[in-house]
Amino acid sequence: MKRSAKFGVIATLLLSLVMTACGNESSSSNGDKSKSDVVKIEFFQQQGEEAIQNAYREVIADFTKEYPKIGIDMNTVPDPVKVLTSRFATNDIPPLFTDYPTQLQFKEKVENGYIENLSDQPFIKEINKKYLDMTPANDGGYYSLPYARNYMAVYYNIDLFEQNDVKIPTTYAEFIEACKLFESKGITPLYLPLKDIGHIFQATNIAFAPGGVEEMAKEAKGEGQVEGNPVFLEFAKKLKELTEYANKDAFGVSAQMMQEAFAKGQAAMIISGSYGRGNIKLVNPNLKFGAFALPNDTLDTTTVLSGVNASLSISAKAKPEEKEAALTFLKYLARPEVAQKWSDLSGEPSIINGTTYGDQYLQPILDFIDKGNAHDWMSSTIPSAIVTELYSTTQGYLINNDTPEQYLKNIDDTIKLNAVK
Amino acid sequence: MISKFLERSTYFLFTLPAIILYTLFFAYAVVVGIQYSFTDWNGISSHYNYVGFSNYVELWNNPNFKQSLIVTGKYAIMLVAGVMILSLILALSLNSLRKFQTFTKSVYFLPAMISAVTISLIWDQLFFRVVPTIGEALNISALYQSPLAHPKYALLAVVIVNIWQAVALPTLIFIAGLQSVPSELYEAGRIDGASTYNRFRYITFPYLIPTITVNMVLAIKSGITSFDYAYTLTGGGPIKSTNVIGIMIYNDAFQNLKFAMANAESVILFIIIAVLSFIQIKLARKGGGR
Repeated sequence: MKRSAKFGVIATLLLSLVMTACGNESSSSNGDKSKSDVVKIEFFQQQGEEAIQNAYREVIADFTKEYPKIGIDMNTVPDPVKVLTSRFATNDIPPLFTDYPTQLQFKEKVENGYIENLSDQPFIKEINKKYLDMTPANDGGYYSLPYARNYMAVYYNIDLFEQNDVKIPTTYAEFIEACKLFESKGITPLYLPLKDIGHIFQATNIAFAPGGVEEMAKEAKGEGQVEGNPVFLEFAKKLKELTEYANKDAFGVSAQMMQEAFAKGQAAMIISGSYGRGNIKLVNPNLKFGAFALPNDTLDTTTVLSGVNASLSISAKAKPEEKEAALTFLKYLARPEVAQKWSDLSGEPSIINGTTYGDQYLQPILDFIDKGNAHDWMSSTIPSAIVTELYSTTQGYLINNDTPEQYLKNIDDTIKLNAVK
Repeated sequence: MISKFLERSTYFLFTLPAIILYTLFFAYAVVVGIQYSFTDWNGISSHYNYVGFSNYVELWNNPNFKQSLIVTGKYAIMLVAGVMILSLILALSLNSLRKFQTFTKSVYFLPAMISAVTISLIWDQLFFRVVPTIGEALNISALYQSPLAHPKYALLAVVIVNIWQAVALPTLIFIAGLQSVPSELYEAGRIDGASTYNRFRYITFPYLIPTITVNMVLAIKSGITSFDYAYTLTGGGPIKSTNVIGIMIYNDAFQNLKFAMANAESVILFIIIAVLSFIQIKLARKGGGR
């Protein structure tokens, strides 16, 4: 009796386990059937800025009205680059996602057959050629829809410039003059976020060391060094000089804190990515601010860091109906009127032909990029492992107050240590 | 026959779900992780080669890895010391409360219920906005800036935030331990004229040893595998001064596309924790036999 009772208990438990499992399966398959005419796809969207998310939300809502049988489920997470990499590593690739097509990592994903080739799609011809040309994979094909461009520039407080009669500097000397003038009036000239030094390093290196990225890329392949390179020495000196005019607590300041301080009028200038615009507007919608290129010694040698923003790609591993749905969405996004609406809402400069940028104060920097020198982000040329290690090398230079010569030596060491063997 | 088998194996059968799940989620992951550490897999590529011990050799020669181990060691020592001392003091004081004990205990337990990221974001603002004001008021030059901005103080600052949250649970465990001490022993001690210190040393402490072991193992483990506080507060900076091994593994795997290397780092971390736990449990068994 005792034995059979035990047996009974175990049997019931096991049976209930099996029943529950079956029950779930059958109920979910029933659910699928009832909604089978709607294809739902996840859209892994990397940009967390509120304005950009909102712009996508609005555009998706419009899209769903036109295509009621396609559901786009936007998913935005913190630390998206790493999350997406981990999803690729575990073969859990979202059917539709944004990524950075110019980066070496993206090209690696293409080479492994994870991303759908979009070269034959008509919308590829509707993209600003200067930026489209940055995006082909190693086989020359296009694997994403580049939707906007980004840049690093000096954002300046227009009212503070006008009140103090400061003209927009076009050379480095004029820039330092402007800093001195603001300082003499008790205004913080430049607010730097040295806790998040990465993009400041990239922007200043590209501005002050023309050809510097290519030098470092060569070194990553085992050729040459930057130690003793006069262009790099000049960059190192200028970078340090900038910190002399910056907020005293710069090493504790993140990029977001910088945007906030600038929005509240606590500084005349910041070096910011175009992605910072939304946050500044969020803190202070009334702030009048414009942008100019971080100037080098002359206008001719001034180069702006500008690249393709997160672009939209389709997973080659998705189901055919998911691919079809994603492609329909991309075709919709590439319509000039949709791209215009997205650009107006997000504040991001669209690179779909036929759109215009809605922010008159920031338009001059876009014109400068179109006419002048622009250079892509470092990770398009140098493995990102080296780029991110260079961030802390640069932090060390400024915090430890090393000499520029020592800094260049440290750059060499960092590149050699992290180069792919 | 079947019922005899069932009779014998009933208890074993009840553990089966746990064993299967543990094997699936833990043992399998460990084995696969170790396997990958001998490859050159970058996390994205569909192909990889076996490269023997070369990841381990490279790690041995990598100054960043050594520095990361040292940072992690310092972090763990500071965390264990801070958590153990503070939680014991808190437990002793809370246990001696006569009124509002439950209410006070729950107040002290509150930090444990907030997520590490939320706590880090709050403390980041405190460090940035409040600390410099205090530094300037008291004229302490070290506090003129957020301690997170200084390579010398950043690690300590991160540990303080971690301790602030981590004391809650050990405190509760200590209180439970304290309540298991028979009150007659204290009475006898008092009658024999034992001082407060002696009562603690010879009555409370021996009863607390198993609790201390549990708390110590938990604190060491959480110190060595810590990631969230340093990652949210400093991202491993400034100049890698808070680059604990957890951050290095995470960045190597998901940012630098060195999955195999990250696995080798994890294997070394696994060995370190295994050895430490083994020593700890051995020592505790010796000391615990009262």
